[in-house]
Amino acid sequence: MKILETAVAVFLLTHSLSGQSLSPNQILKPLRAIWSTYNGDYSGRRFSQLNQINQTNVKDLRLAWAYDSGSYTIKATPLMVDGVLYFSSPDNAWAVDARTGRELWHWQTKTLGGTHIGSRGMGMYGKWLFLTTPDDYLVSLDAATGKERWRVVIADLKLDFFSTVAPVVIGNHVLVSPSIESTDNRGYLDSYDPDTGKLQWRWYSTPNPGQTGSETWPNADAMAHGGGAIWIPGTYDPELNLYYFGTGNPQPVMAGQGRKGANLWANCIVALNPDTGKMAWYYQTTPHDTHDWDSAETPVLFDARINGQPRKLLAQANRNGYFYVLDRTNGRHILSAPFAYNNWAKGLDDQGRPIRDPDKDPKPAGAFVIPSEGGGTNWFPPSLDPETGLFYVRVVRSAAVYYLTDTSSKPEAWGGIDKTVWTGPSSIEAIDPTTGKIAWDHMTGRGGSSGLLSTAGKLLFGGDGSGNALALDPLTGKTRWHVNLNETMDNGPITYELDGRQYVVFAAGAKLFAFTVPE
Amino acid sequence: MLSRKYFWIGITLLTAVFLLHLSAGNTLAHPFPQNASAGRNSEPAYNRSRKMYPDLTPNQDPAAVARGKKLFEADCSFCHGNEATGGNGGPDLVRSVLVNHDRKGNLIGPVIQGGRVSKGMPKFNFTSAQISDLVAFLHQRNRDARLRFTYKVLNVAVGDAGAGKAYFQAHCSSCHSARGDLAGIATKYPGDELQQRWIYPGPGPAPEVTVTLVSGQKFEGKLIHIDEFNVSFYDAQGDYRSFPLSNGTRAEVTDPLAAHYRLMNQLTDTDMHNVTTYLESLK
Repeated sequence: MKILETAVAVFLLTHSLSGQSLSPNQILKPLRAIWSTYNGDYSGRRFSQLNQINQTNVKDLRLAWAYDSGSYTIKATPLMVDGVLYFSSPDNAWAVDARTGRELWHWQTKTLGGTHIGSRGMGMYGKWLFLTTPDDYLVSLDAATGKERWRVVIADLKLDFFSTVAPVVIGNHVLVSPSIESTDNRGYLDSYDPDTGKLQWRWYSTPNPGQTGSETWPNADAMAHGGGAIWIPGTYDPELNLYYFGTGNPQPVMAGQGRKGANLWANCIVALNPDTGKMAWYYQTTPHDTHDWDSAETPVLFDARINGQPRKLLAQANRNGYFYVLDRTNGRHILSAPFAYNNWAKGLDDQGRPIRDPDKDPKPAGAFVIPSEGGGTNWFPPSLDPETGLFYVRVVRSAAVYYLTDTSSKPEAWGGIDKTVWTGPSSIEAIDPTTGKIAWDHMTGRGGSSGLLSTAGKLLFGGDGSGNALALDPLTGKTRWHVNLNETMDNGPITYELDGRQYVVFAAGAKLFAFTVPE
Repeated sequence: MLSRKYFWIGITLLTAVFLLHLSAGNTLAHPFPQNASAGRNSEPAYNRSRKMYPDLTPNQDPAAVARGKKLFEADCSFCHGNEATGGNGGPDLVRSVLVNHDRKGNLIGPVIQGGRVSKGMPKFNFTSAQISDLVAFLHQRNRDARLRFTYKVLNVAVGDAGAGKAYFQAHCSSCHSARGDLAGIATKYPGDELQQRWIYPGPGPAPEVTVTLVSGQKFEGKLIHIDEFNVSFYDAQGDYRSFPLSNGTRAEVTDPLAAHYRLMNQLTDTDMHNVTTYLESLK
């Protein structure tokens, strides 16, 4: 923490605080008036202390403004700092007046390529914004004008890397990580200097030969190309000075015969020191993944009593269909429980990890697996409400036939493919994170990929598969309000306070919709 | 066994006839595909939303690829493997940084001609036409590995056709017949697609819906859309009707694919292979 404090002190000395600006220590505060990171704050809870919009007046919510970006479906969670919203989509970024929806600037870049699957948003440090592009740049913009300050290459586009992640700013570190599409690469997390764009450190998702963890790979080549891409912005505990994130699947994705072993640190929840990039601990959620489960979902930080003892905890609802709670000081396993049905695991081992059924690995003639590679949930931001004590997650349902298409001893890239045969209804599920028990499950129809937001107004905001924005009672899951925005909601709703008024902003398709209650 | 219990609760809610009443507390929605365009086997939405890959090597001339493959197998595969994925000492060329950065042989050509003697790779005296064929082969290998939606599924008819027939008669014959609707089915679809289709055929005929108002008045039709708040359908006259699912209005939906849903929940891989093998025999 010394280093962080020093960084903040230096920052305050060297940066003017007029205009739109965010100091790193503002992010340390609980989520209230501003929304300063992908998750609002560092905890990943997406719980706001605002309560002006509440169960009593939510029925009166009305549209304050709408804004059409005219671009891709918005998968970014916008930031809101000093009255301005900042958000991105592939190759694009915008600043929009949070009071009126008026566009302040629009930055656009010509792409060199890369998978244009989405952009999760931006990070902010002082007057500077940061985003990643599909063609693997980390770009810094001037928040006041949208003018580009600098860009640095974070990964090799020609090797099939692309970037979607929202940069996370911790002290004077900008943390970003490229995604892997198909080619067998090794994932990593980078830290860049927010002023110069200089690389501070790099942490690889697979070990080097001889390092602890290398015993989970058959050889150096498999390890050096073993995947573990980091897809989703992580969370941070300032007291422990640990950054938490999930790593993706091992490579090749579905053909495991060339990488026998558990394949560390793919499919792990990892804690590392953001000043040094040194790993403190890891927990593997799926050893030897052959279904593309990843372990990318947000690790949500919370404190609760377990067996009467107060504990510092971390919870993740994993794409593999299991909910995990760990001790975030040391990574020790507290509990695992299924929150979505699966038929690929035969139960849990003594460390709470699912025991893979080898019959459900991809097969040349097919293996029938529930769910499809989309998983029991996916990147959709979850929420944890400390007042109800419940963890909220979007659950999706599907079934697929998984085929092994490359039966050689040295498969490449995917080496197999899953074909979805059935896509079922999604739902918003509430889980008691101290027991793993499901408290309620609100069905939301086919489709649906919105993230979730809980507030001290005793409301849980999200969306269904039909374009309805929803406000639910977080204790019971009952609907308190809805409006049909008629487009896919693919990001996390946010809330903020301006002029003493609380706003809730949903993205639907390429548009933003801001709601508030009448004065 | 929370997961199993939870799953069966889900199935009970989702099967056959399904009630939606929006009176206090009921928050359930419709189990069926509501968007016919998002059918099975279509590319996932996230993939459709992708732009082209301007960075991806284009398809190579198939004749050049075939010539290059022959050359590669004869002179390179001993070290680099038949599929260029590495072998006895030679590195994997599919994931190779150099091959991925190569454009039309500008990087690969010099390595072939000059060798990498310190690493044990000799010079090769290929003609420039041969080098260009080898380059075409390597780029096509790389492209084929990257684009998983082009992967070819291998033989799926590996089960016992007799056992598949018995399963079919027990579980499928009340709706389907090998001489009727499924006559010649194996000639209509490739094996893997046939396998996926018989398990769950995707958006089939529109579900039937009956809407009952609180007054008792009933409307019936072919479902268009239903969510927690509204239902819409075409009635027998072909007119569009829609109702809010509030004030006690109920919608009852009948899924024509309910039997497939039930079957899917009991399906073993052995049954899947057997039935697929049987259906593959219906030429």
